[in-house]
Amino acid sequence: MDADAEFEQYVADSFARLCRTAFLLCGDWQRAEDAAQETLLKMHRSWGRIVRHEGLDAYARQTLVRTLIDEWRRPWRRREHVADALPEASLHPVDATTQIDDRAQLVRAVARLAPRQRACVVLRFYLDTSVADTAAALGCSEGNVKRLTSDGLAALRVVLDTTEGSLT
Amino acid sequence: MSEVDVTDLATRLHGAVDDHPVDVPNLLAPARSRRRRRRVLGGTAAVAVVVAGALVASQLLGTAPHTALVAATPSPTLSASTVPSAATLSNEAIAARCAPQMAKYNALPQLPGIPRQPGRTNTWHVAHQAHPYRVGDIVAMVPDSMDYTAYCRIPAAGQESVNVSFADLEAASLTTVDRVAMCGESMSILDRPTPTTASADFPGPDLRDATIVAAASAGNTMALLLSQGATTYSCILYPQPWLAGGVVMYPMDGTRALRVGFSGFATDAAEKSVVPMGTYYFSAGRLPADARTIEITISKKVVATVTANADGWWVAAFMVAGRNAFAEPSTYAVKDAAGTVLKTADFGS
Repeated sequence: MDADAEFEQYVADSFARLCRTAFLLCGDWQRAEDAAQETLLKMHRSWGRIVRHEGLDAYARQTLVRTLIDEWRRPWRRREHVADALPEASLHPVDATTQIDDRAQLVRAVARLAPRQRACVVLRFYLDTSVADTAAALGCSEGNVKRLTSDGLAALRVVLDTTEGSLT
Repeated sequence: MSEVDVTDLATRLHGAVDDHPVDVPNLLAPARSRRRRRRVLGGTAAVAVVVAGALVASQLLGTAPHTALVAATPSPTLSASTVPSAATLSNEAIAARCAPQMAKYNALPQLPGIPRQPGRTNTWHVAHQAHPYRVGDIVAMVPDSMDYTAYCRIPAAGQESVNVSFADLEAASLTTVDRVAMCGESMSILDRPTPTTASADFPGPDLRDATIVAAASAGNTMALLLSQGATTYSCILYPQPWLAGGVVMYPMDGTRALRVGFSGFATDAAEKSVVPMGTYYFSAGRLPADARTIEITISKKVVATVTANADGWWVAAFMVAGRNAFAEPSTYAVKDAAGTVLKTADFGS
């Protein structure tokens, strides 16, 4: 199978997973699709090297997270929208009079985490990524991942306890 | 959180998103196209020319910390960095002269992709190969990993060992001309060259002849609106070496709108040595002709009032101290010159 065929196969196999991971990281399906596409397009540039040396999934995780972290650092993320909403702007407190289903509530709670806490929680518990691989994706130490994950879970519990009584 | 909770969390995360339909796009054609386009850009990047003449609004740039606003009436001045007799330096010369200044970045523990083994240092590259630089200019540098941006003020020959601190590179320490020039040193990881590229060729306009349209500051961050030709750019200068730090610059489309949203950061204790702790908000835009001010309210308290300039352009930067304020009720009101409210809404609506 040549490189282009391998790339197309990988896109078919991984796009949905990348897209859903990105959504948990950013809370916006359009941005999630953009980030997943951007990740895969970057991978195409260096496909041979990634396959030989780095591993496709590890590189995809790292690139996706760093792409979104870069987005979080952008005060104005999209040139066509002069004043876009905050990445965390969907975090307004839950209106008790509004019915919000469990899934939206969880996504909103995850969105309230600090970006790197959010990345740790999503990589560790949605993608089931190891501490070491999560550290590689975020470009930090394993100790940092453990701390960020612990802090993220604690914060998540507070948010969910506030809105639904308990996480479970 | 117990093991049971964690297992439940994994299940709930999958339940939250796994049934969302996702259409798989055909990415092969755009991937091939992008590779071709990058080659073309790389081949033409060396022809850029610097034109002197940044305009100043310095009286408006000393805005007090934690406040918003500015509408500027610029007046002209020349950049010291673009004196005609000053020779343009090669990228190799810049990298060599800047190496001592880069040492302070090599020592930072928080930078991703930077080797931290004892005795190892990075090779730093000029990020915008197409930008001409002279002694005294601030230049963006990237390490081999191209994951982080560092900055160097190019020293004269023989002055390489003169210390340039992180504080020297903060907006408050820079001249107006340097602030404008630094906005042109912005880059995005999305434009990162392939890791196999020996040096960096991030795209991005050279803004050294841009005009400051408006500016605002919060803490030791500063937001600017710059005009160059027909394009207006938003730009934020962050203190070094904040992890979010460096420069973020974007072209804007100039559409007049009443809608206001903000992006920003909530800092934590780990960053308190670099920036005052708090929630930082940034935004910019262009109001309709009949609108004049934007009043921003967080947790029922007015935290900033922004006034648009005569063309409707506005930029805001403000900080809510001491806590993560993103989850708190955040609204804005757009008013006309007489104070009549034209619109009130939550951020981003």
